[in-house]
This record gives sequence, structure tokens and C-alpha cells, in this order.
Amino acid sequence: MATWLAIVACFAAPATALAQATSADAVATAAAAGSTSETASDAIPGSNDPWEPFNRSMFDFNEGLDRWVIKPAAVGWDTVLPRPAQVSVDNFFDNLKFPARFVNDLLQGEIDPAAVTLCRFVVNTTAGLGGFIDWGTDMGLPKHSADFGQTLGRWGVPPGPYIVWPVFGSSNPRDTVGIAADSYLDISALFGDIATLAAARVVQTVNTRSLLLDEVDTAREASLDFYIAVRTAYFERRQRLIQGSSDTERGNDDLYFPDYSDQEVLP
Amino acid sequence: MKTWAPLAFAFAMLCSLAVQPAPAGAQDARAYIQETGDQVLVVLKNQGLSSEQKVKQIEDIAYARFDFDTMARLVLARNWSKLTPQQQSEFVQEFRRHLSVTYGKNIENYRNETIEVTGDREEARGDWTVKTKILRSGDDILVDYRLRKVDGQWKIIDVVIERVSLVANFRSQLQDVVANKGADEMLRMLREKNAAGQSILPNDGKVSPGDTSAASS
Repeated sequence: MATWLAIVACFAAPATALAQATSADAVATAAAAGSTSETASDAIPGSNDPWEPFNRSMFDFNEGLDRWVIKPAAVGWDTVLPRPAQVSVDNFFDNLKFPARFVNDLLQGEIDPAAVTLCRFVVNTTAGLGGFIDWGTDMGLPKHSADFGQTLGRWGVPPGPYIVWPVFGSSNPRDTVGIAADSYLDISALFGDIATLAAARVVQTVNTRSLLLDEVDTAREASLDFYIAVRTAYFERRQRLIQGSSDTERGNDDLYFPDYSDQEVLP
Repeated sequence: MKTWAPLAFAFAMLCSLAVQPAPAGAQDARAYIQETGDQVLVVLKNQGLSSEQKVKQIEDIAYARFDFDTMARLVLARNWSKLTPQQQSEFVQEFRRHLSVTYGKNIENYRNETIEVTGDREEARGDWTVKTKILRSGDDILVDYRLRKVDGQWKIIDVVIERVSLVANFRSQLQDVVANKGADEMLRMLREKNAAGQSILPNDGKVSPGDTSAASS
């Protein structure tokens, strides 16, 4: 059921210890790419993809990585760990994203969501035993995402062309800069040395993937061209996260909605 | 200890303000989606049905409540008019089959999820969007339905899952194929995909270890 969630979560979710190294390169590339002006290519949103050949080969690499390494590990993990436990692990890692989320809520001028983020963190870290139990959601404080790529989008920075990074997956220059900036607010460094963090990142990746086993399979099967399906989904999801404040998403999203009013297709 | 009291109180106040009230308002579109969801859940929860029977019954619900004709037109957009009437009707059929083949396979993955209607809003052209959440263990899934009145009856014309529109996604995938290879090739690919998918419907007997936890959620 959660097809597109799965695609986006899986491929937008950062992956392993390679991450740190990748983001440094990413900033340099993004800075270079950001200077080229954006041209509206055609009517299909998200199809700005001048580096498609490179992106497709990276996409294939990531698919291979998933098929031969990440998915098998996730299947094993799923066999050992019952789903509620997987959800708890997921909650734990999500809770650690608090600083970047809070700061970005504020940078976006989203005071109420910032309060929700703060309250969730306090409640879940204490009563939720270090973040493993998400009481916040039960209390009417739903989770929402906020990151610096989204903040830049709110400030009017265009996404730029689609990029697929090895291991990282779908991105664009704006969101790549965002990930690099948010990494400065990553508090996990407080909790251990490099080896521990790398291990934690592996656990996080495998756990996330294990929650999405069926969804990713469906997404692959449901598409005629999985690359384009993921590209479109990534673009669209990011645009909507930027346009609508987390829960009060409203009206003017017609630009990225399919063109429902296209005269030629009317009955 | 005393100094903590005002702080704790202030914090409690802050949190109570941050709690978001449930959206109010009732529309017949909302009721329609709620009813659709309830019908689907009744089928999914029915232990007495085989997978084939469940797929069939859910197909019946979907065929009555989705306007596949409009969806197919929206998916092809400007390319719609490039198809002959025969190709058009074949596309509607194959598109519908594609959805039921791919989503039909998930019927056995049901893990006690429930559906909650969370809001609605009016759209252009008299369309209506009904926002729902699939509640489950783990993160909720946001699913919005776009509805249009067809002959006085609401019909679903798009599903937006976690902010990604089904129609828009298919549109971008098919755009290249139709533009570069033509409508016949696009139809051939779709037919092939459906035939391959159908052979393992509704359950290919794959081991899915996650199912063992279904009862404990």
C-alpha cells in the first residue's frame, strides 16, 4: 500500500558510513551545479534531468547494492526482529533528528511545528525511554519532517536538476547542500566513536529497509520505468513538503498536481 | 526542586497548545471515502475468504468507485488524442488491469491497518480532495483521494500517497515511451508487464517473514 512512501523513504534515506565522505563531494558539485540557470524543460514536473545517463548508472548501482547487500540483510533482520521492535528502533533513530528538525522549523518560521518538534523530543526522550517509544504521536503531537533542503526551498531556492548519488540515492543540488548543512546538527557524534557510529548507521539502514520490504517490491513491479517513477516521486514529494507546512497543506498545489484541467483530455 | 515546578508547568502549557485539534467539517465526499475504506477493510479482515476471493471483491469495489476512464485520460494527458479510439479503450483496460495486478498482490500483506479520514478541501473544477491516514504500527501513511462528480456520483480520479500522485507518476513514465516509441509500443510494454504480473497473482508463495508479527501489532 505504501508504495511511493517506500520508494522515497528508501532512496532518499541516507545509507552507510560512506555518507560523510559523499556529502563533502556533494557540496562542491552542488555549488558548481547551482550556478547553471534553470530552464523549464517541458510540461512534466521533475523531468529536469540533464545528467540522466550518469544518474541511470548510479541508480543501477544503488539497485544492485540493494538487491545483493541491503535487502538480504533486511530480510534477515526482519526474520529475527518482530515488527514492533523494528518500529521502536526506527523511533529511536528518528528522535535523534531533533536538532536539525527544530532549527529548520524555526528557519522556516514555523513556530507551532517547532513547538511540536520540541515537545516530541522531550516527551519521547524521557517517557519514551530514549526515543524508542513514540508517545508524542499518541498525545496528538504528530511527527513531521523538516530539513535544510526544505528550508532553502521555502526561501525560494529552486531544486536544480535531478541527481542520483551512489549509496545516498535521489537528490538535487539544493537538497544535497541541505543534507550537508543538516549534518552539522547531527548529535549522534556525541554518543560514540566512528566505528560505533558506522555500525549504528548500518543498523539504521537495514532496519529502515526491513520496514519497507513489501512496499519496495510493489513499487518496482508497479512501474514501467522504475527510474522515472522514483525521479518523479522524489521531485513531487519534495515540492509538496516545501509548499505545505507539515499538516496544514493547502490549496495552491495545482502547479505540481497533474494538469487536471487539460482541455484536450476532457471527455 | 521548587524551581522546576514553573518550568514544568510552562512546558506542559506549551505542549497542550501544540496539540493540534482534529479537523472539523463533514462532506459527502468524506463520507464516500470513509465508506469505501470500511468496505475494503471488511473484505481484508474476512478470514473466511481466499486470496482470490478477496482480490475479486476488492476489484469490484474499486471498479465501482474509481473512474478509470478519466484516470487513463489524465495519465496520457496530451498524448490521449494521439491514440486511436481502439488504442484508447485498450489503454483504459490495461491500465486498470495493471493497478489490480500490482496492488492485488499486496492483499496478503494486510496487518490490521485502519483508515482515518483527516480532512478535505475543495479543488478546481468542483473536484474534492479527501485526506486520509492509514494507521498502523509505525509511521502513518498519508493518502489523499481526488474525487470528481460524474453523473451526480463521486468517483475517485487520483490517489496521492505520501504526497506522490499516482496519475502524475504514471504520466511521467508513459510520456517518454509514447513520445519516443509510439502508442503501440507503450501498449505492448503494459500488456507484457501485466501478463508477467498476473501469472503470480495473487500470491506467489514467497516467504515473507514479516507476517509472523501480524498478530502482535
